[in-house]
Amino acid sequence: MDRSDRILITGATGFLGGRLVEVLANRGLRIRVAASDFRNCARVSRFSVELVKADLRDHESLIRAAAGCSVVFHFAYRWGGTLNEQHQVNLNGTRTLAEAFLKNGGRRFVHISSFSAYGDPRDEELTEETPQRATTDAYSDTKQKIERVLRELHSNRGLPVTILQPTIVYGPYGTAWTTRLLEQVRTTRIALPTGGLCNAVYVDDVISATILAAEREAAVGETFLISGSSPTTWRKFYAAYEKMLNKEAIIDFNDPQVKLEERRQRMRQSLPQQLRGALAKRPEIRKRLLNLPPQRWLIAGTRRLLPGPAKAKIRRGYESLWELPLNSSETRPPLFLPDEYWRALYTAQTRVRLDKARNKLGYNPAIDLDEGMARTAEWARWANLLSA
Amino acid sequence: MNAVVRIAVLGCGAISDFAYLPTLKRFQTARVTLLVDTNAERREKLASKFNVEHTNSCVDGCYDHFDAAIIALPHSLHAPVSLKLLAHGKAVLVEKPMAISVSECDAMINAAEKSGVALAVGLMRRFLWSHRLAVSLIKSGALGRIESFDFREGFIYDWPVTSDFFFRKEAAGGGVLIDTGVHTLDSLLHWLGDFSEVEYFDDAEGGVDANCLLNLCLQNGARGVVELSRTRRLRNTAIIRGENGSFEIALYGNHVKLFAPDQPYVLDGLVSNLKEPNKDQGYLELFTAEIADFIAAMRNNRRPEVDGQSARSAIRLIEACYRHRQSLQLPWMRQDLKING
Repeated sequence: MDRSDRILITGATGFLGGRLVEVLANRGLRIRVAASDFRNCARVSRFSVELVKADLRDHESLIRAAAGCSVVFHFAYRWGGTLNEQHQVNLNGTRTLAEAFLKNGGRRFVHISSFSAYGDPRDEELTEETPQRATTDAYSDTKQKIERVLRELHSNRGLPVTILQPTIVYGPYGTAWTTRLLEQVRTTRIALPTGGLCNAVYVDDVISATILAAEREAAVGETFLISGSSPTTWRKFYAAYEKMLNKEAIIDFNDPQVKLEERRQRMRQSLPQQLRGALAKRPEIRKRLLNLPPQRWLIAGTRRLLPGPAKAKIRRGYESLWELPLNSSETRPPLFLPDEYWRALYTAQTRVRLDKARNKLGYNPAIDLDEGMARTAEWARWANLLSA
Repeated sequence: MNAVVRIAVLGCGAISDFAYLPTLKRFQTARVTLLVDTNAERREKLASKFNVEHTNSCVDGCYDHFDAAIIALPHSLHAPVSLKLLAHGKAVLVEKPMAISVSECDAMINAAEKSGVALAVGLMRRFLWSHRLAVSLIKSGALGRIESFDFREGFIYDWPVTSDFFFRKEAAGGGVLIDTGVHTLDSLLHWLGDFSEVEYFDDAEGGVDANCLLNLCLQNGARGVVELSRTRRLRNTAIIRGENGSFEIALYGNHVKLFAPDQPYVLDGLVSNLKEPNKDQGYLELFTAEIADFIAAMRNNRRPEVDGQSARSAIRLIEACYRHRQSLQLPWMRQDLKING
């Protein structure tokens, strides 16, 4: 890439796209930032970039954004809606963008997918040859379908596409694996299953791969998994955030308090407890229920028959039923209990292989977990995310 | 002047939609008669929403439709459009920043003097009760000599912009410093007096600043820092330390904490107004106060509370900052990305 290229970056106001803008702008390249909402442009507008409005739901805007661009980095993904809506928006939007790029005779289309495209986590080595399994997760399923469409456009119409599948990407401005986890560690106790592997990768390593994908001829038509040099454990990954916040938040999944919390959560979801919660908020309905015949007769009889202290005790017990929250004695932060999806991720022994990326792309991850987390901590401190 | 002042609103962006036009609806003594914007869809949408009679893509040829104007255009247009209107004898309330350079401010001040009409600037925080109390506390000498100050204002940018002008240097004149910072610096200079020296750092790399830091020395000898951000949540308060005590004040609210020296006690609460008990000042109340003052200035032929001369000070400081800009060090970016291969 050089000054003669006009480079379109979709999703440039997000975590990865924003970092690519920083790196490419510092090289003096001509960048067009596609943003669905200009209010998110504060970070990228620090550079001399062209801002254009484009949205995956507005195909005309995508065609305008792609006009005259020799290189496209496609990071944009629109969350939300049903599975079908996510498909429609992301798949059709990407197809339109790729077709517009083809029509313009662009040189390289780099699509940022995800290792989620392989489906649910599994206990094995993951390579680009691993079959992509069907999944019910909307994001994973949509990523699979987008990849398929782009490969078809490559085979049938010569789209010069490279697909990257990053793993667990963390670093400054990261949300899913950085600020969300910081918030989780700050505000909850986390029941973390032991032993699972976390294929973490620092944001700058993903950006290195992204740039290589645009520059290496051998990358055309290929898909590459992108991760750090070796997996860590989820326990170590979370521990880095505990260290930043100087707080212990992880408890072992086999700890008795986890079992207790599971029981409590089941209880909270039980019909009687849901009914109790609903009635606690509506004293007028409780009063009306007590005035219905069977209860009214029972209360009248009790009043006549029971001695004063016993009546007072019953009254206190009845009132406390509505006043006391279920966990009134609980002063510790709430416990985050991973559901089935998260448990599968946190326990999987997935090892992402980088052989293809190393050999064909020249990718060589340079930032290990200690260094990556040290940089992340510096950013988080600066961003005021580590104060109480 | 008519019993009802006819007002033109120039610029149909978010500030007009969410602040000026709904606020003007509250007035019996003013009516919006003209909307001007180059974007026909926006101006017709707002004309329909706020029931405005006339619309146009430019103000030329529409001077008979209004007595005074509110200018809510991209920053770089504030001065040229104000000058045009003042030359036509129209009173002007111009959104902040008043202009993007001191020379533009001076031209506007001179034009207002020459035409004898009001020139007000939309620095609505001046109408906050807490900020008025701050001025009173400082000027009364209750805190003694002011020794230092610490202003931090930052939020993750979320203003519902309708165009990208805030992020284009040529249209906005800068980034967070001239946008949010003009409020912050106006408060500082209004409370504590003019500056003597400034050291300025920001993170712009050919575009507009999202984060900046000022080390300031004032003419009264007080020293302190101002930090501004569009990408981080900061404290959003000002701390003023005097030899007899200090206070911390919300930069866009009425919350104040008063501290006595060497004492563990703090007076912590909301500043209220004895003339309007049981009320707080929301966003629209501040705009109401600002517009009411503008109309009163026109009617009574007096200067508005925030006139061109007093708004100029912050622009002078901003200009000095940009002139002597140094790069802000971002700690985690100490090493350049080395792309392998």
